[in-house]
Amino acid sequence: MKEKILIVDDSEDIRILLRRILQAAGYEVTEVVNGEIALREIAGLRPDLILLDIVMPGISGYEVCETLKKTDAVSDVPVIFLSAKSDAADKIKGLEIGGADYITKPFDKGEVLARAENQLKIRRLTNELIRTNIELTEKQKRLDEDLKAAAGIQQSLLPRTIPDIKNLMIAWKFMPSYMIGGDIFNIFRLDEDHIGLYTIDVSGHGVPSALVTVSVSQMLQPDSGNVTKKKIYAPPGYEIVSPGTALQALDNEYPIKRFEKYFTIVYMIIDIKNGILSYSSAAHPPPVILHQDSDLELLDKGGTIIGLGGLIPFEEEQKNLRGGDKIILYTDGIVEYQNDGGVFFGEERFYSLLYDLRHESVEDLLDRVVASINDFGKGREFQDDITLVAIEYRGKKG
Amino acid sequence: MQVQDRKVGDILIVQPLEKRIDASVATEFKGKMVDWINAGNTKIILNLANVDFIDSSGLGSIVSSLKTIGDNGELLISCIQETVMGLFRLTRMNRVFQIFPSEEEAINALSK
Repeated sequence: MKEKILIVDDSEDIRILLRRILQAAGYEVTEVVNGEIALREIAGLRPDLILLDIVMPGISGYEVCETLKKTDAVSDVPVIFLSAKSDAADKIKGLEIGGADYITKPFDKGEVLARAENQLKIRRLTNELIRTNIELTEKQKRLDEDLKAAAGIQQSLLPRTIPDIKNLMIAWKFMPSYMIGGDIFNIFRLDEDHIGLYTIDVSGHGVPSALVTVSVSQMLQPDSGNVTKKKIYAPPGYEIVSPGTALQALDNEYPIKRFEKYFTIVYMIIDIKNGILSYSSAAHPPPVILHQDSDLELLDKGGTIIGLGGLIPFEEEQKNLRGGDKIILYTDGIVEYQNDGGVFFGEERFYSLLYDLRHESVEDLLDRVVASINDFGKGREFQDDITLVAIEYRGKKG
Repeated sequence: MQVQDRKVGDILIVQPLEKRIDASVATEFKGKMVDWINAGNTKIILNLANVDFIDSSGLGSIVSSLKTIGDNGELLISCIQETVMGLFRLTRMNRVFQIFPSEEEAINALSK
């Protein structure tokens, strides 16, 4: 499509000369003879460039330009001033009120074309930028919506309701740093007397890590996978897989080369009938047992990260639980949280906070921990995903 | 990311000049390590003297390097700071990697 140039000049000779030059170069040209007509017709003409005389009967070129620049629909149309004046002060004034360039009469054909084409080129590039920007904004919006949907799907993998287990009180906080993240946890019944639970932290965050959490949590489903529970022929028809063996199976299933990701996990089984906790950890921050009347204990037995293909065995450990004991599982986002001064929240602060809160209910305890993190960081956003799970063992079933 | 590399005989010594190996530099760091390994370096010492923090992505880049070098070579670590050693202990990387207090000791171990 031809670009349209509007000439505003009271001199017929000038208009004819400019029209010839510009039409020969392939532009569509419209002329008006003064500023009043220019302002009246500009909206209908919609030119791509205006060549504007400064000294005209009636309103001056400067005033025309000032009015155009204040009119939204045409404020982006470039204006090149035409004048016999060659004073620097005049040129500067023209540029200050929004002129894009200046051509001094008498003018040279080549100069007119070069300056006009320059302005049209800038306008074309600007328009293209604006268009691309709009497209990008729309794409970003779609991506954000997809991410929100993905976050919803990931959240749907979390326990939907607090499992109704008579002698366990359970609470959790799940806070991805960027809508969707590399943390996941679950609590599920393995059978009448055994509860399985895990927290997982996949390296990195964002979508790739979140997809890995989906894959792993499927694998750990007691009734569809065979990592946590195996079907066997002998009664009762299943076997609960011990934590260390389950981690070994994950280690074989998820070599680091598969997704260029590794993860840390702690998997524990609570025998609620006998109050026995068994667990194994793959380089996960050690869960904490909070006793009512003695020091806290760290559950730090296990092996290295999942994905190294059996470099080190996954050790297991068993603990006897007493009524009132609380077990806290968490991911490293909490101890590695940094405030503006670069100070880490850190293990010591976290453990002593947990100790102080040992008599609180599991819900209050986690609320207080999150409040304390926010206090520490003065609301600074999380750099990593944070997951916290608290379980209180209420004693052997009566 | 600033990384210094130098050769001592057939041993490549890689020393990150940053204080942190975290998500913002992990991919770049891993890329450099893979390039060095693919260029035929089979004996590498990673000198962590300047590094006081490694996050999970950073650790991933080091572990990936170890996996890339595989059975055909060795990746040793030297001059690790106590804060980073904490992470290595927690993740039991101290049992996966050979770690030496000084560069000389790491070089001696590789020269045997």
